Amino acid sequence: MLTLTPLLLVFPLAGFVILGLFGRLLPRVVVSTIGCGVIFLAFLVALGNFFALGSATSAGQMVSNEQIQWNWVTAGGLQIPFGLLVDHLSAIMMLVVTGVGLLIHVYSIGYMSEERPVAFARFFSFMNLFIFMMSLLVLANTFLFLLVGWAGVGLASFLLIGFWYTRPSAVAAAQKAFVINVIGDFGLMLAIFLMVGKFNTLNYSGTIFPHNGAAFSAGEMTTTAIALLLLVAAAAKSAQLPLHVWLPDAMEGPTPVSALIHAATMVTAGVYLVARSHVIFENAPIATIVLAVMGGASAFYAATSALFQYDIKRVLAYSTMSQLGYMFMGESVGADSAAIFHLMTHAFFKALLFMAAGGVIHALHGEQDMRKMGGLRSRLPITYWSFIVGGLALAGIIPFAGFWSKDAILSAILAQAQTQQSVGLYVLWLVGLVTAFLTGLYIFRLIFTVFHGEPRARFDHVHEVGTPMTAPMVILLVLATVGGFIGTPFADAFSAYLKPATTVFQDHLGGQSFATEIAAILVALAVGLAGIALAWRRYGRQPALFTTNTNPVYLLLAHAYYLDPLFNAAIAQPVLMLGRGLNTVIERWTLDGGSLGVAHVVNWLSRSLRRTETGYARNYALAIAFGAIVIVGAYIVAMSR
Amino acid sequence: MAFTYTITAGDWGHIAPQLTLLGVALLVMVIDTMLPARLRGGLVIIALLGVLSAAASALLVAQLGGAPSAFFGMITSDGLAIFSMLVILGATALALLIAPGYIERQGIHQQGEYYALVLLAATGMLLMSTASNLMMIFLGLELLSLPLYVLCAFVPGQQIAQESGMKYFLLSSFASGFLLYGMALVYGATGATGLTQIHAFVASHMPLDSSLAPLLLVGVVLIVVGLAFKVSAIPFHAWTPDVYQGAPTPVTALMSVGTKTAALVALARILVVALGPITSQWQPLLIALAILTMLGGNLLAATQTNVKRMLAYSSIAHAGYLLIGIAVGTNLGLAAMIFYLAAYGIMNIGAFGVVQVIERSVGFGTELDRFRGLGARQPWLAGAMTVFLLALAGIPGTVGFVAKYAVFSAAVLASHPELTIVGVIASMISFYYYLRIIWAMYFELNPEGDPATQGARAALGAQGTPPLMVESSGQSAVIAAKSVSMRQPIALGAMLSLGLAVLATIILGILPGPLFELARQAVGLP
Amino acid sequence: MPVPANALLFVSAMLFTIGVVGVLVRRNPLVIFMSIELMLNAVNLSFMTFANALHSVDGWIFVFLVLSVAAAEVVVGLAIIVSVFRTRQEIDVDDFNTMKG
Repeated sequence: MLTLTPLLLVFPLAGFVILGLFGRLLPRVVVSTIGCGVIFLAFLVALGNFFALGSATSAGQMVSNEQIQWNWVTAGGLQIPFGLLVDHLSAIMMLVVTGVGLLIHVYSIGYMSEERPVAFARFFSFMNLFIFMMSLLVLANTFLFLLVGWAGVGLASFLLIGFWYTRPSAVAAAQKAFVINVIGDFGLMLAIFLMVGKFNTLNYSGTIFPHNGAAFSAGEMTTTAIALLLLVAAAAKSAQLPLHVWLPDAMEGPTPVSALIHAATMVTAGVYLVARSHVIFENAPIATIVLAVMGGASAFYAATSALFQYDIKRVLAYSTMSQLGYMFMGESVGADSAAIFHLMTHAFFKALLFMAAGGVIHALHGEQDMRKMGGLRSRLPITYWSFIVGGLALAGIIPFAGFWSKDAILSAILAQAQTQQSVGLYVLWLVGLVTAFLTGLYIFRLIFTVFHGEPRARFDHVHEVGTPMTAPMVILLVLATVGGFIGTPFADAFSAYLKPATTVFQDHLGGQSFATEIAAILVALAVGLAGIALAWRRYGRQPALFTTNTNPVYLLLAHAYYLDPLFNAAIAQPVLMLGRGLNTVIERWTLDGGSLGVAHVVNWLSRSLRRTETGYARNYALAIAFGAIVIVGAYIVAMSR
Repeated sequence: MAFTYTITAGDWGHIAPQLTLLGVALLVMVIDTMLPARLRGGLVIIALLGVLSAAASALLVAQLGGAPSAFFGMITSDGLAIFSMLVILGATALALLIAPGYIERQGIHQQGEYYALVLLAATGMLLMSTASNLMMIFLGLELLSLPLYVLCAFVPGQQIAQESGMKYFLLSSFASGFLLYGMALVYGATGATGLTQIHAFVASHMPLDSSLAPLLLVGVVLIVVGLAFKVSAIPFHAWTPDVYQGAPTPVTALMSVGTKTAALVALARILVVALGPITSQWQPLLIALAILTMLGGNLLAATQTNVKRMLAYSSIAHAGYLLIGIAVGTNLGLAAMIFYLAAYGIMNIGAFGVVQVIERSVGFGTELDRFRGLGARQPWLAGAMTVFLLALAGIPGTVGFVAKYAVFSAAVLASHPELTIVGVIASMISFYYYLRIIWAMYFELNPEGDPATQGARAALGAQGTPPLMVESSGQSAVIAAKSVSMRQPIALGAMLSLGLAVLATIILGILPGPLFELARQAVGLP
Repeated sequence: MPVPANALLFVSAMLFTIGVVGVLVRRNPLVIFMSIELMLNAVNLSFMTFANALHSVDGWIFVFLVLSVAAAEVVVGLAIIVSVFRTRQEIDVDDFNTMKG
């Protein structure tokens, strides 16, 4: 089965080439069949790989199959074999990429149906290109081809975000995304060259796979530098502080693009990179601390930012950033499998939320402002329930998928904090809890504002979207509900599967007692529910609509009413104020300012340098003579010493 | 002193490529006088055949093997020579292919002279890259420069062309003076002009004593200055944009690749091969030049709005990356450099090939505005330009990426990570201006308006209606007529040249192995 | 009495410098070109001096090469200058300033 792996690359590439060259000549049906068909075929291969590896594990072997070894460049000092790596990590990643990718492709058939035929074909060809690049990134067995995929994903996202290129805002967003991505590529490139210098190879087997004896000595300067550079790359791709500025703006792309890029695939690349190169991080304590701080800060910052957004997609964008922060927090304590688990469940429920948001936008003819929505519950039932399930999963409410994965991360942090007696890790755990609270708050603020209450603006012909759009939503709805059961603390099939490929981390609370674990779970659950409750209190209760409500959330709130003012005064208000302040300071002074600043400096330097280009041959001759004199002078000085 | 060296047939065989080109150049001039004016377009075919047979004879020389030097050590035909000859001949062929349509549009009637001069310039480049004696290097340099002076000023009645030719002539002769003085000093220090003899002398006099060092080192520095001018390394680059802009674009394309190749190979022979023992003495200079050139070239290019001029600055930047190959002073560096030269030749001539299609009169009409909306007007042309620009930027999947990777990793392996870091930063800056052209081609509307984008607007307004019907019929007719006039016809040769370059850029980007292997063998690595 | 080699080299360096300065300060392309020729001939003097001092034939051959190349340069250079003169009537290198920046 594994021998079919190259097809994972071939199918999407073929789709891209065919649609790119001939798409404009083909009818819509053919375009969508090819566009989705190639991803479906790739998904089948990924599924086959997944199960083939699964049976191999039961034999108790370390499996990492490097398929088609093909010497791309063979030349003494420069050996660059090209190979595909199928291990448990890449198998799961591919399953997510192609599986969720496929659903989003199908969804796009409906969502993009009003585009011109040429644009329709262009859209699918770019989407296929995106999947191809992402697959290359995941399947590569050397850092070099990881870089190729890495840069390619950036390029494809640039094309997709700027898809509606007649809108200036889309253009600006695409450019911003590209600039930040290039910063990330830069970090990855430098890390790669450092590795070339250190190991003289870029194969995973010669660098990061520890069983091959490659030496990343702990705490060494080079190792730390490599880890930090990888972190720059991961931060840019996964939209972590301080390189996150592109993600909210990138919502300018069509909604399926947001779902694909900003939920299911692209942003997960950073998480994948860190998980893949965890050996480096294990030996770079400083980088691990930076990773933890970055993840925690991003999770908290993004969650607070999401509270103040009125654009329905921007809320989801910040939420993505926040959830990615969780994954990095998990990775910082070595819980790679928990992070990948959360990556997978997040792909399910975030894609679902984006699709549902797309359904709302579609139904309201392109309106994205939440302040103009309201009372859509009865008119968009499927969308509503998608949002409810997605929101519960996001907020980490049992038994939805997000609960299990978020719990895995939080309890891993707690366990590490207890074993290491580290105050920092306790703080990290607390940050995780506060973020969980905020998560419930912002997502249900969105749901209540959009679906409950009275309509705040008039929209004609509000209707549920068609089958091509609802079918993927229903599938994801199921996955977001039950997808977490493969990784419960009681029977963790997920981390067992992933074990050969990631850090061997003690499952959940390791040596801790079962009672502690249950307590941790309950605390996490409680803060999530509290967040939802607060949202209900602030945004959901509109008496005219809810007098006869038997909603369990409402009842819970009614019984716990005395907690509400406390929340408001002691937690909610300070947190909200802090968030608002952070938001302003960070956005204005560092991040946008930074990327703009670089552009200004380059422009200014360029213009000043161009003044030397006077057009007078005399001056050019002077430059030559002067250059010669300076160099000769320097040599004479050097020799006379 | 008795001079008892007899020239054998083998000697002539070694310079067969040069002789072939020279002969064909003369043949073109003779035939030119006999042909009626309307048939003179056929001369390009003769010139191309000449280039192809020169390439064939270069391969033959490589096949025959034997002693790699001829004419008393004046000429060598080692791997480096063969590889760089093939690069130069390939560049010449591509530049010849894009020429016919262009020189017709620019009103150049002396086609015979044009092709003959191109061939003569190529002869000089071949001579320079095969020279293993300071005399031959100088002779090759002048032989390539003299025809180029004329070619730069070739477009009749254009002040900008005259300016280009005049600046190039004066500054290049000036720089030759420095080169020559450097050669004289090196000769004075070592008593030899042959590179092998210089190497033997320097190797036997290590470490340099105080009577020898000043003469030799100042000589080396002046040689570097003279050749750096031809390579257009900063601060000896200032002529490049002006000369490149005013010259006929096919000539610019040839100059940017051929001259660089010849000068860099000569520089590599002098520094790495002949002066290898004193690497530590010249290395700081080369590193400084490479860093200055990479950063300066890209910064200068960043705010250009004339695409032809921007490509001129970008060629300066690429000279910086190329200089890394010499600066690291290893054979791997040289292999990376000549691989980069081959890659650069393909993508740069391709980019200039697109520019010449767009160019209205020499040096003008290549502003960024003219590229706006090209993606909708002429998708194939815009697609080709995209490939070349991505390759120049070094995006993975193109040959440009492999070339940059080879050069940068050679620097890392030679323990010069600073070159790599600066190179990567410089490449990041370059993304900015390369991508801006791509952006203009696909994502910006042409100010004059064209039906595709107009249609897009119309389609947004009313779905299901054929776009152009929305406009009032008179207006749409005007728009359609304008768009027809803005479509630049692409001559058959240019189409062929661009197609070949696109294919090579992509194929070598995906399968660079064999070519890199050749480059390694060319510098004698196992 | 033979002139010492060092003196000849010094003269050569002076001539070369005069040539360089000439290129830098003069505005008439013809005069600039003459200055360049001066530089080349200064180099020739160096070559001759070294060849005599080292008893080596290479320097003499090099001088012949330089002379013939210089002659070719004159031909091409004058042709360009004359063609410019035909369109502009007066020539000052500072007028060649269409392209800059």
